[in-house]
Amino acid sequence: MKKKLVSILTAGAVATMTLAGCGGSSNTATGEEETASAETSEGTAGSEDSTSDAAIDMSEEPYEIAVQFIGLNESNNDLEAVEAAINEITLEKINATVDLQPLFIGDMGTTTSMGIAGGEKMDIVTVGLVYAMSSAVKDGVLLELDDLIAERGSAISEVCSNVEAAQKINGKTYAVSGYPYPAVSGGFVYNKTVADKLGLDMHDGMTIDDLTAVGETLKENGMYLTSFSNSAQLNFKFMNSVDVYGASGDYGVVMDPSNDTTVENIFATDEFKHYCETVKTWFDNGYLPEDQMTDTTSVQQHFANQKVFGTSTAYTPDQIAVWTNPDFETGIVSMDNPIIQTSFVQEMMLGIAATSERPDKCMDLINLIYSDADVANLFNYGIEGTDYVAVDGTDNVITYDGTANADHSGYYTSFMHFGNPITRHIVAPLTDEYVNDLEAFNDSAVVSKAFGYAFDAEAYSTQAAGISAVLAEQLPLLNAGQVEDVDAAIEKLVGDLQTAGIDEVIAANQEQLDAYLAGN
Amino acid sequence: MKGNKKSLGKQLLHWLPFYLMGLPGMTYLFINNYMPLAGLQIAFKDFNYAKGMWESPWNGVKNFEFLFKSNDAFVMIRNTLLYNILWIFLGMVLGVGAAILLNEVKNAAAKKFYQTVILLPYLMSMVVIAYLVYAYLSPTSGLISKMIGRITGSIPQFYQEPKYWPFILTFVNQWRGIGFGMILYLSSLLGIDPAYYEAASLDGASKWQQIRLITIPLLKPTILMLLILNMGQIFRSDFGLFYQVPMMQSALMPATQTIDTYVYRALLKLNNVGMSSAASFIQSVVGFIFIVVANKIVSRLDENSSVF
Repeated sequence: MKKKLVSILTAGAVATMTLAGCGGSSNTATGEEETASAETSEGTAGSEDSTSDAAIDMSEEPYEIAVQFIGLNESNNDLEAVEAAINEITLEKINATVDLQPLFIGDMGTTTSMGIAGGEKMDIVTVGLVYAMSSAVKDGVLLELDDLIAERGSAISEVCSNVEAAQKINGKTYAVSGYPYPAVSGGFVYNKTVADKLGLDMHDGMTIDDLTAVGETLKENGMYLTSFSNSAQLNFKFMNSVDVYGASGDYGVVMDPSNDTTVENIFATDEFKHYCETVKTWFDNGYLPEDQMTDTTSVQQHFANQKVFGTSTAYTPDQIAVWTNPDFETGIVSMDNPIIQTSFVQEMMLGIAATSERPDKCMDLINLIYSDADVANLFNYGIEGTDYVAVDGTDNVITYDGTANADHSGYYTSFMHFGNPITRHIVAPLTDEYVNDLEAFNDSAVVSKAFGYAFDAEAYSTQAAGISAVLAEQLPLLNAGQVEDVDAAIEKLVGDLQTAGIDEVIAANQEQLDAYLAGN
Repeated sequence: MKGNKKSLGKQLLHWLPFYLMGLPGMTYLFINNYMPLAGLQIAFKDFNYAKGMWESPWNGVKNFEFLFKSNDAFVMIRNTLLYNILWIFLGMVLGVGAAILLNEVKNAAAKKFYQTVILLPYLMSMVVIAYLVYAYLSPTSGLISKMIGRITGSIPQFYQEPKYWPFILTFVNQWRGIGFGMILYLSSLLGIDPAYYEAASLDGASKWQQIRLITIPLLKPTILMLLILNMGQIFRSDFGLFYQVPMMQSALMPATQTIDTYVYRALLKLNNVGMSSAASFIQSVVGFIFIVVANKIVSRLDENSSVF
C-alpha cells in the first residue's frame, strides 16, 4: 500500500522526470561536446582565417548534415528523392550530404531543446515560428555564428546585409533570417467579386472606420464583414505599424516606431480603446457572426466558403497568393505604411545546433542555400518536373498545378523559405514582376528606430507568466467586440496587468532599449 | 540455532520464486517512480536544456512566484479545491449507489450491457466530449439551448455565463467518471458472502435494510481507502475537462479556471520547465499533506480502515 501511495504522490513528478532523466544522464557528455565543438570552431577560426570561403576539404569522408524540415505533417513522399538531388550538388560543392528530418511545427521547441539536452545528432535547426530565437538562445540551443559567417558565409552576409542587426542577440549573431526583405504592412484581404457587385469602396489606406460602413452594406446583403474567433492574440494587423514586444504586446509596444522609442502599454492607449469600441460596434450591429467565439472553423475557411467578406492580414507583395480562391476574385488593400521591424526578420531563421559536430559544414550548407538558387529551389519546392513545373512564358514562375504534387503530397512545406528571394523561384499567381515589387515595397518601408533590438525578458519570467495568463483570459472578448462595456473591460484588463507586473516589465524594456540605442 | 538458520534458508528458498516474480514490477516502480524524484530539484532551478538538470543554476523559490502573484490566484485555488472536494464525495456516493444497483441486476447479459454502457464515456477523449456538450449547449444549434429558448423565449448563453458551469462540469465529470469509479466497489460487492443476505432475508430484512446494514458496512474499508487515495489528487484538476469542455471560453473563467489551466495559459508562450515543475511540485506537496491528514483522521475513527 505504501508503495502505491508513494507512486501516486510522485505521479506528477514523473512527467518532469522523464525530461530530467534524459537531461541528467547525458548532461556531462553534452557539456563536453559543447566545449569541444566551441574549441574546434575557435581552432578553425584561427587556422583558416586567411583562406576564407575556399576552405573545403574534399578528401575527407563526406559529413552528413541533419537539417530540420518543419511542416504540418505532410506526407512528403518525394523527400528521399529531393535529398538525393540536393546531395548531388552538395557532395560536389561542399563535400557533405544532407538528411532532411521532418518535424511538426508544434513540436519545434520541445524537440529541439530536448534533442540538444539528450545529445542527439543535430546540425541545422530552424528557429522563429513557434520557437523564438531568443528562447532558443536562452535554452542554449544555438551556436554563435559571427566567426563562421565571416569565414565561410559570404553569400549570407550579402543577401542578409540589411537585416544583420536583427539576427543578433546581445551583439552576437545566432541565426540567419529567411526574410532578408522583411517589410510588412497591415492589410485587409477581401472578396473582390462581392465588393464589385455591391459597389463597395475598397482602397489602399482605408481605416477600420471605413470598414464599418462596408460592414453595414454587407449586413444588408446577408454577409458577415469578418470573424475574429476565439483568439488570445490581439489583432495587431489593424495596428500593424506598432513595434510589438511579446506575442500580444506583453512586454509593451512602441506606438510610432519610425519616429519614437517610447515603450508603453498598448492596452492603456487610445488607439486600443478605439479598436475595441469599433469592433464592439461591428458585433453589436451584426457584422460579425454571433457564434464566433465558439466557432472552430478558421477565418481562412470562412473566407473561402464566402461566409465572411474578408479578414485582416499582413500585407506583403506575395500575401495575396495565400488567399486566392477558384470561386471568386480576391483583392487586398493596404491599411498601413510598410515598416521593417525586428520581429519580421526573426519570423523564420536557420541556426546551427550548439552540439553540432561540424559547424563548419553546416555553415557551408547554409551559405550554399543563399548563394545557389538551384539548392534553394530544391529545399523550397522539390524537384522540377516532379514536384512543380515552370509556367510557360515566364522566367522564374512555377506552379504545382498539373503535377502529382498539386495536393502537396510529394514535397511541400510552408516553413522552408530560405535562400535569396530574388533568385529563387516564385509560385504562381505571382509573376516575374514580384521581384521588383518586393524590392520597391522594401525600399518604401520605414525602418523602426528600434530595429535590431529585442527585449530580454529572462529576468521577468514571473511577470511574463502572469501577463500571459491575464491576456489569455481577458483579451479574446475585447478583441472580438463581445464585452458589455469597453471602458470597464479595459480598466479591469489594465488593472490586472499592472498587478501581474506589466509596468515593471515595460520600464525594464525601456531601459534595455535606451541602452541598445545608446550603444549603436 | 543451527536448525533456526536452516529454516531461514529454507524460508528464503520457499519465498524466492515470489520475489523473482515481483522483481520486474519493483524494477519498473523504481525506474518510473523513484529515480525521477531527483528531478524535483528542477522546480528550484533556472533550468537550461544545454546545461541539463544537475548543472542548471539554483534560483530559490522564484519559479513559484507566478502562481501567487496574480489576481487569479484565489479563484484558481478555490475552484480546484471546491470542485475536487465536491467530486470526491459525490463520486463516492454515486459510485457506491451505481455499484449496488448494478449488483442487483440478476440477468448476466443485462448486467454486462449496463456496465459497458456506464463505462463507455470514460473511454472517450475530452475533445469528443467537448463537442458532445457543445451539441447540446451551442447558442445556434444546441438541443437544450433551443428547447429552453422555445419554452422561455430567450436562449441561454451557456458559453458566456459562468453561473451554469459548476453544474455542467459536475454533471460531465460524474457522467464520465462513474463507470470507472464504481469498478472497485463492484468487485468488493462480489466478494461479499451471499449467506449474509440469505440470513437477513430469512429474518425479514427489507432490501433497504440489507443495503444499509450489510452492504455499506462491508464496503466501508474500500470506500475509506479510495477516499484517502483521492485526497492525493485534491490540488490537481482534469485539464481536458476544464479547458476543452468550456471550449476555452475566457468569459467562463471565473467558474472554469483551475491551477492546471492557469499554468497552461501562463506558460504556453514561455515554455518554462522550471515554473511548470514548480506548479507540479506544489500540487504534489499539497496532495501529500491531504493524504496524511485524511489517513490520520480515518485511523482515529477506525483503526483498521486507514491505509498506513
